[in-house]
Amino acid sequence: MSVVRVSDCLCSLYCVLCRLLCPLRRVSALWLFCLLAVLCIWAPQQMSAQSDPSQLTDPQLYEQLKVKMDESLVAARPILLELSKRLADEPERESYIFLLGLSYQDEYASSSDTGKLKQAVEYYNRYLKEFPSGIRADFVRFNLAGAYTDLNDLASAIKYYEITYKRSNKAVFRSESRNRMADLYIRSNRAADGIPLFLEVFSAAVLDADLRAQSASWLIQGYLAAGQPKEIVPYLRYLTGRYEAIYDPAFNVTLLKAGDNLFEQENYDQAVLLYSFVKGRGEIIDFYEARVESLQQKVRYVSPDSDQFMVVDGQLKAAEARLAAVKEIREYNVDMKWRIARVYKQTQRTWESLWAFVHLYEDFPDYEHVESFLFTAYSEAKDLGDDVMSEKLATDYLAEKDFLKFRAQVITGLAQHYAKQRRYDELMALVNAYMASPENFTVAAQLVNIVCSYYMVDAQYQEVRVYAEGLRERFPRREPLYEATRYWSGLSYLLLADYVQASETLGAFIQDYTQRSVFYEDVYYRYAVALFGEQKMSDAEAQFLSFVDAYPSSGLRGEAELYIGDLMRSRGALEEASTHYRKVPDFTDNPSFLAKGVFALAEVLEELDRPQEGVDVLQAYVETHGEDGQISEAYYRIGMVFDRLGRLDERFRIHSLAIRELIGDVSRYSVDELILSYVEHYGRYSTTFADSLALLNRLTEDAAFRKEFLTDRAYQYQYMQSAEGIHVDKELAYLLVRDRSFRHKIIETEIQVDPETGLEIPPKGEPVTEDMVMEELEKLVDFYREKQASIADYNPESFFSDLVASGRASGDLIQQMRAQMALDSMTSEPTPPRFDWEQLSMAPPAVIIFEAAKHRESRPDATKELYETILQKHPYSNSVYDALLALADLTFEEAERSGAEKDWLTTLAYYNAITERYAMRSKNAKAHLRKGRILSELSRDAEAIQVLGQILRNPQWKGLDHAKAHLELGRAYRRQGKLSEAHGFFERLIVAYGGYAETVSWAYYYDLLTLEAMNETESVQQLLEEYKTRSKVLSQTEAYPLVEKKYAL
Amino acid sequence: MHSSHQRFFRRILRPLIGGLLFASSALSAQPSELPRLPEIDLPTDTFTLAEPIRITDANKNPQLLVGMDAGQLRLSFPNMPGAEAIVPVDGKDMMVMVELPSNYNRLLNDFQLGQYGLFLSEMKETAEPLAAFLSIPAAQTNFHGIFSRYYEALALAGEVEDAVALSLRMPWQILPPEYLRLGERLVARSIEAQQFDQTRRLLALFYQSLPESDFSDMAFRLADALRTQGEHELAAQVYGSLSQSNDSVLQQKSLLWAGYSRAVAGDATGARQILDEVQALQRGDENFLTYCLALGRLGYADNNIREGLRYLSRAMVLTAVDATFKPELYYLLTLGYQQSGNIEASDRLAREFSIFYPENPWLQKYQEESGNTL
Repeated sequence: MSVVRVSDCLCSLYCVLCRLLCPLRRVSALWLFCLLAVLCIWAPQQMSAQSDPSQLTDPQLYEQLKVKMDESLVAARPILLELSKRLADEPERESYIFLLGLSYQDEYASSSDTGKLKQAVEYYNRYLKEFPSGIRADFVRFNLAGAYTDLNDLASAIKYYEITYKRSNKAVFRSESRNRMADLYIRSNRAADGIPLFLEVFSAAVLDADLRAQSASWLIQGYLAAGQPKEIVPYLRYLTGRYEAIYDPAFNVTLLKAGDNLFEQENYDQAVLLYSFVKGRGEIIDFYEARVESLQQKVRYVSPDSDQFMVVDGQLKAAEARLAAVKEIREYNVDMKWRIARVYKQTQRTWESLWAFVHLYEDFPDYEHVESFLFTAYSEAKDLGDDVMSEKLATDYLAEKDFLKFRAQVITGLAQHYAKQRRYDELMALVNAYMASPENFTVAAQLVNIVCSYYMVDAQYQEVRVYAEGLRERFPRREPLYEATRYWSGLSYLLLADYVQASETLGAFIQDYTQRSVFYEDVYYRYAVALFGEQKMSDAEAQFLSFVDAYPSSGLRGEAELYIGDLMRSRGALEEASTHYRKVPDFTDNPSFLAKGVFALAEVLEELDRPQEGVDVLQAYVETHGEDGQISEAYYRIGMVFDRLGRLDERFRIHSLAIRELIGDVSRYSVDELILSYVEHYGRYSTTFADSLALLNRLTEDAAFRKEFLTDRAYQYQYMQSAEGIHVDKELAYLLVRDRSFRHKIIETEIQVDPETGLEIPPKGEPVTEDMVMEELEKLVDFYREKQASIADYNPESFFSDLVASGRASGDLIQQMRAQMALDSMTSEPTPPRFDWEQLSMAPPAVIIFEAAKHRESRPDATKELYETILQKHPYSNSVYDALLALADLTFEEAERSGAEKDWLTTLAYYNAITERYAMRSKNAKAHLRKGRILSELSRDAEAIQVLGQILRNPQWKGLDHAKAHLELGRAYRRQGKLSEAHGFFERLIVAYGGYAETVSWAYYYDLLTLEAMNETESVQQLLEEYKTRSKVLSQTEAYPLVEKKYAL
Repeated sequence: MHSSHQRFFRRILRPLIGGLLFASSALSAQPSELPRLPEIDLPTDTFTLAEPIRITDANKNPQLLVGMDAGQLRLSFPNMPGAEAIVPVDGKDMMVMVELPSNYNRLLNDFQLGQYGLFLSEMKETAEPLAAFLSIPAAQTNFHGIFSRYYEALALAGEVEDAVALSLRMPWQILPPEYLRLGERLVARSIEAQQFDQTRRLLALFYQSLPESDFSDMAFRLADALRTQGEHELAAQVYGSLSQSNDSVLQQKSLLWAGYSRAVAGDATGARQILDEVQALQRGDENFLTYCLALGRLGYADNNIREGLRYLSRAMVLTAVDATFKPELYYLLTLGYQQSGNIEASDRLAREFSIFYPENPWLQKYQEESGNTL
C-alpha cells in the first residue's frame, strides 16, 4: 500500500474542489443585493437614455444607467464611468466607484481575464482610499479579498478578510470572512500562521457545535503544519458528530498525510489517532448527499434578498461540488484500514491487529494485496496462539490456488498445528499431499521434522525410522530434506537401542555434514551415546569430551557431563568422575539429569570412602530442590549410606520419617520403592539378627554343639545351608567359618594325651579355655543384641499399621493404600484384595501393580484394566514399564492359549511399546525375543529377523539372550526356506553358547532337521555323534526326547 | 381508547403472545427468567380534577375544564351551574385556551435565557394540570406551548422527583419526539444523580407507554449509563423487559446485553445461560457487535482473559470512536491486555483512551483500578 497514493487521491480531490469553488467568490447573491441597493439610490433620478454618455444630461444618464443595469453591470460600465467623472469630489461618487469594481470582477468571472480583475482591485482600492468609512466598505473589502484570492495574492486576501472579520458590524461578513481567511491559511500552506485566528474562533464557539468542530479541525491542521502534533490532542474529541468540517475532504487529506508522517517516524500512537478520524469515501458521500438534500430544502425557505441566502446558497454549491468531486475518486478505505491495521500490529495490539487484517481480507477480496492481508492475519493468530483462528486462516490460504508467496510458512505452520493437536490423519494428509511433489525441499525437510517429532511424542521410534528412511530413499541427495531424513533415521536407531546401526548412521552424518547443519550438534552428541550403547567405552568417552569441547554452551552439556562421569567411573577414575558429576548442575535445569548427577556423585564419594560427603551432597539436593526434586529417592539414598556404614537405626529413622512425610503424595512414585525396601530390608535384618543370636546362643549354651559346629566342616556346612543358618549374618558366618584368627579364639584347646606315655601333651602356645571362648562369644552376642535393639523401634508392622490407622482416621486413602501394601508385602501368605476398583483407580501405580497381581488368575480381564489405568493416569511413573510388561505377559499367555491372530496382534502391540519406548531401559532381551516369536507366529519372519538381529547388536544382552536370539533367527530363516542361513545361526549357537543347555539342545534339534533338509547326511551324522557326547547334560532338556525319537539315539 | 388498548396489549396480550410463540417454536429457545421493569399505573383517561382549569373557548367565553371522560373533555360553564358538556379533544371548531399569568412574557424571557428557577415556581400552578390534556391537538389549544416549556425546564433543572411525578401524568404514547428527548434527558439526570428509584419508575413508564422502537432506542443508551454507574440490576431489568419483544433482532440484542450485564456482575454461569439462548452470530448480523461484547465480557467473568480479548478486540476494531459503549470497551481491553501481560499494548490503549475520552467515568475507573494515571 502507498499512503502517499491515498493522500494523492484526496489531494487531487481537493484541487478539483478548489477549482469548482472559485466562481463562488463572486458572491452572486451579494452582487444582487448591492445592485438593488444602488438602484434604490438612483430611483428618484431616473432619466431617458442617450447613446454617448458624455453627451447626456444627468437625468438622461441616470435613465440610461437603469436600462443598462437591467442588461448587465458590464454594459452599464460607460455610464458608471461618466457618472463617476461628473461626480468627482462628491460623496455620491462612492456608489459608482463600488459598482465599477464590481463590474470588472463580474467580467472576470465570465472571461477569466485577470486584467479585468486587476482593474476591479484598482477600483476597490480607490474606494477604500476615498471612502474608508463608506457604507459599502465592508462589502468592498470582502470582494477585494476575493479578487486577491483569485489573483493568488493570498497574503493580501487574508489581510482584507481579517479587516472585515474584525471591523464589520454585520455577522454574515464576519463569519464568512473568518471562514474564508481560515480556508486561505489552510490552502496556502500557511495553516501554522492561522493558529491564533483558529484559537480565537475556537474560544468563541462554545455554544456552536458546528463552529467548534470546524475550528478544531483548523487547529489540528495548524498544529500539524507547525510540527506540533501533540498540541492537537485536546481538539480531537470534537471530531465526532456530523459536522461538515469533519467530512471536509481537505481536512481528511491533512489527517491522513499527517498520520503517514507520524507513522513513518514510528510515532504510532499519534498516527492511529489521526487515522481513527479519517472518514471513508462512502461516509463522506453519505454525508454530502444528506447535506445537499438538507441545504436544498433550506434554501427554498430563505429569501433571496437576505444575507442568509448568500450563506446557504454558498454552502449548497460547495456541498454539491464536494459531493461530485468525492464521487470521482477511487475507493481508498482499504488503504486507510490497512494503515490502521499496521499501527495495531506495530504497537503490539495483536488482537486488534488480527481482526483488522481478517476484516481487510474479508472485505476486500479483490484487492491486490489480499494475500498479504490473509497471511498477516494468520501470523497474528499464530502469535496469539489462537489455534482455531490460525487453522481457519491457514486453510483459507491454502484453498486459494493463486496464493503462493507465503505457502511454505502456512503449510509448515498448519502441520505444526495439527501435530500439536495430535490430529494425525490431517497432519499426514497435508504432508503427504505436499510430499507427492515437493516444490521446496527446505519445506519438505521441515515437514519431515514435524512428522518425526509427532512420532517421538508417543515414543513411536519405529515409525520415525520407517518414515525417515522411506523419504531418504525417495529423495536421495535432495538437500536439506536428505539431511533431515538421515538425522531422524540415526536418532530412531539410537532410541530403539540399535546402537550399531545408530552409531553407523550418526557417524556417517558427522562425516558428510559440517557444523552448519542444524542437526550437527545433536548428532555429535547422539553419536557418543550410540558408542556408549555399543559398550565402546573409550570411544564414547572421547566423543563426549570432544562434544563438550566443541559445544561448551550446548543445552546437552549437562547430560554429556553425566555420561562422562559414568564412563570415567566405570574405568575407576573416581575423582575425575566426581569432577564431571559436579558440573552437571552448571549446564542443565533438567530435573532428571540433576538428580542423576547428584545421586551418581554421592555414590562415587562413597566409593572414595567419603560417605559423609555423599550424604552432604544428597542433603544439599533435598534442601535445594525440595518439592520439585526426587526427594524420596534422595532420602532413600541417604538412608542407604548409613545402612552400609552399619548405622541401621539412622537408616530406618531417616526412611521412616521420609515415608511419613511423603506417603500421601500420589505423584511421588519413589515413595513406593522406599516403602518396599524398608519392609524387605527390615525383615531381612530382623531375621539375620535373630538367627545370628540363636546360633551364638547355642554356641555359648551347648558345648557339644559348639564343638561339632566349629570343628566338623560337614556339620557346619549343613547347618549354614539349613533354614536355621541360611540367614545368619554373613559377617558372623565368616568369623565362625573362615576367619582363622577368630576361630582360634573360640575353639577350646583340647589337651592331648600322649598314648605312649599317657601324659598330657602341653599345647603349643597359650591354651584357649572355655572361659576365653565364652568371653569372645559374649562379645558377639552383645554386638548382635545391640544391632537388634537398634532397629526395634522401627518395626514395620507397627509403623505401617499406625500409618494405615492414621490414614483411615484422616481420610487419606493414598496413605492407607501404601501402608497396607507394605503390611501385605511382609507376609508370604496370599492376602485378600484390599481395595475396590474405584479406589484403585486413584491409587499410586505401585499399589495398582501390587493389588492387580492378586486378581491376575481369577480376573485377568479386570487386571488388564488396572494395568491400563497406570498407562493412562501415571504415564511418567516407573510402573508404566512394569505395567506394560505385565500386560504383555498376560496377553502373550492368552495368545499362546488361543493361537488366534487377533490375540497375537494384541500382545504384539504391547511388546512394540516396550521395545520401542523403553528399548534403552530393558535389562534383558525378553521383550525382543517375545516380539520375534510373535512375528514368527504371524508369519512375518522378515520383521522377526530384524527384531532378533537387534538383540545380537546389543552387547549388553550377551549370553543367554544372544543364544536365544540365535535360535529364533535360525528358526525364522528355516521357515523362510533359507536353510543355509538357518544352519549358520544354529551352528554358531552350538559353538559359542554351549553352556545354555536348554537352548543349545533345541539348536541341535533344529540344525539336524535343517541339515537333513539340505541333504547333508554326513553332517547330520557328525552332529548326532556330537549330541551323544553331550547327552549327560542335554538329556534333561525339553528337546532331547524329540531328538531321541527322530534319530533313535 | 388508544391508550387503554395499548395498555391492554402491553399488560395482557403481549406476554401471552410471547409465551405462545416461545412455547410453539422450539424447546431450546425457552426465554430466560430475566428480571423485568415493574408494572406501574398509567394515567387514566377518565378522571375529575381536584381544581378545575379556567379556560376560554374560541369566542373567548370562560369555561371550566373539570376532567376527562373516556378521553373526552369534560367542561362546565360558570354561567350554567351544574351543567357539564363532554366534547371530543379534537372537536370541530373547538378551542381551549388557558389563562396565562400576567408576567408570562417576562417568565418566557427567563426561560429562553436558561434561568429556570422563577419560571418553574411561577408556572407550576398553571402548567402542571395541563399534563393530562396533551391529547388536545396543538392547533386547538395553547396548552402545548406552555406545558412543553415547563416540562423542559423541569426536566433540565427541576427536582428529579417532581419531574418524574409529572411525567407519570403525561400521555406519552401520543406525545411528539421532543418530549421523548426530554424524557430521556430526565432519565439520564436521575441516573447521574443516582436516584435509581426514580429511574426505575420512568423506565417502567416509558416501557409501558411508548412504542417498542422508541423505547428500545433510548433504553439501550440509558442502560449503558446505568452500567457505567454500576447499577447492573436495573440495567438487567431493562434488558429483561426488552427481551420479551416479538422482534427477534431486538429480543436477541436484549438477551445479549442481559448476558453482558450478568457477566459484569461476575455471574458467569448465569451469563452463559442467557447467552446460550442466542445463536452464534456472524459478522454482518445486526447484533454482531453486541454479541462480541457479551462473549468478551463472559470470557472475563470466566477468568478467561484470552477469550475475553478475542471478542472484545473484534468489537473494538468494528466500532467507531463515537459509539456509546466505546469507552467501556477501551476500559475492558486495556485491562485485558494488562492482565494478559501485554503491557505495551495496554499502555498504548490507555494513552489513546485518555485522549479520546478524557472525562469519561470509565477512564476514571481504569485509572483508579490500575493506578495508571498516565
